[in-house]
Amino acid sequence: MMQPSAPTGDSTDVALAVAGDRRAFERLYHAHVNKVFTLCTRMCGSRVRGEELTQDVFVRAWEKLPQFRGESAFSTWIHRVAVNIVLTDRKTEGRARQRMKDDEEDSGEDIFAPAATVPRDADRMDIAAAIKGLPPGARQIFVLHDVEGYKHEEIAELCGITAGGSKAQLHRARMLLREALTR
Amino acid sequence: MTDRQMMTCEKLDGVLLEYLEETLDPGTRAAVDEHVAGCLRCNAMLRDIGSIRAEAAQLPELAPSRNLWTGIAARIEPTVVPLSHARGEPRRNWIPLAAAAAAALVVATSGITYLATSRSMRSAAVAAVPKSTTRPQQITPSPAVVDSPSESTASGAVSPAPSTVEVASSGTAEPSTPRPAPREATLASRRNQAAVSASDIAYGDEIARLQNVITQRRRELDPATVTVIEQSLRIIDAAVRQSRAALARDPKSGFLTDQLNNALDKKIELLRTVALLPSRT
Repeated sequence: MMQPSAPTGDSTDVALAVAGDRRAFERLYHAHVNKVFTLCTRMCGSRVRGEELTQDVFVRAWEKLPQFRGESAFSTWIHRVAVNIVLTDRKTEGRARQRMKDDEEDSGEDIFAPAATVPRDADRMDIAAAIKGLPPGARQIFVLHDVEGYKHEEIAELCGITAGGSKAQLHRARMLLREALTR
Repeated sequence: MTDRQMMTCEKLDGVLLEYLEETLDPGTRAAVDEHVAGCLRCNAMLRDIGSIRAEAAQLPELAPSRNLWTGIAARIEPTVVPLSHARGEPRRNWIPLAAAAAAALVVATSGITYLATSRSMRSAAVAAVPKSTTRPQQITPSPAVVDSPSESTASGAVSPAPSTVEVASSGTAEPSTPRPAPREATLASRRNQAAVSASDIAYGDEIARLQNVITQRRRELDPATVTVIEQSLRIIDAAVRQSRAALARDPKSGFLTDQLNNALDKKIELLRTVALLPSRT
């Protein structure tokens, strides 16, 4: 995956935060909030929900910080926490709400079928808006792979699917985007 | 090249994923390249997908529309409220308030004590109780609960609950000796000691008066009742002592001050009840 740059001074603040220093953790928050918010928002397709998830991410990070061993950069670690939060959110809170919709969109019978949720404007659509209009499963895979730089094997592990399933969803997402962006 | 000769748009769609992932074998890849070079449909498709990938990788970072830290900070705050307030927070000075409340309570309820005292004095005058020739039954706390010198009465009777006389009282009680400050006691705690003492004096006077009444009524009470009273006083005195010890360590704690006052309230309530108990038949 793409290696997010580690802001200088992270290691000191991480050490302080692990010891319970909330001010240090607040500095880490300010250093990483935009990246986390961007990931959450792009993966869930909603700024409002993205903000809620961002808060969940930092709360979870605070709780799990004692387990952070420094084997990777803090930015990488919290990025992964964010991905897990968004995926878990989809599996739990959004399960009932999206079950019917997902059953239609993620069944995988025809991954090239156009999704009704992709907006079709006469004018050329902004790619960000087009990504937002993707079906949740395809959107998450696309964001993780083409935006965030994760590899299919990593996505498969995170999402609990096969690498082939990840590739198929990615391809579906690209084709849907192309359709939305070129009409 | 067989693949190159057989490559069609439909076949290209089937291998497009592998082509983009660059996992195709060289021969098939070359066939795709050759087909794309001469096919407008497939050429446009590959160009569009390449553009999408490039744009996706260049998407700008977003920023939340509001400060999310406030909500995060509220959620990561400790759920247990520490007895000592967090550094920097304004602290309400509970001690004077608690002392004033204690004094007000004692004043407001002192009519009961007056009633008990008056009754006791009348009883003493009428009965003219002689100097005791038989040692009165004593109510003595266990050593473990005695934390101040016993109160000696003029009559020689022993105070029902010596530990209750921890503070200065008028008349028969000696002023209490200040409790030794703990090693870590600060100057602030010593300053607060004055406020605590105000509360103690209010309770102490009341307690001392009631104890005098009980001392005079001592032989009128049923021994079984005396035993129950003794046990109750031990428990209350233990609570008083523990509250004082905790306050010595955290002298500004409103919670501990309330605990101390509650224990002293209980003690006064019990002593008043005893003072007004009917004589044994």
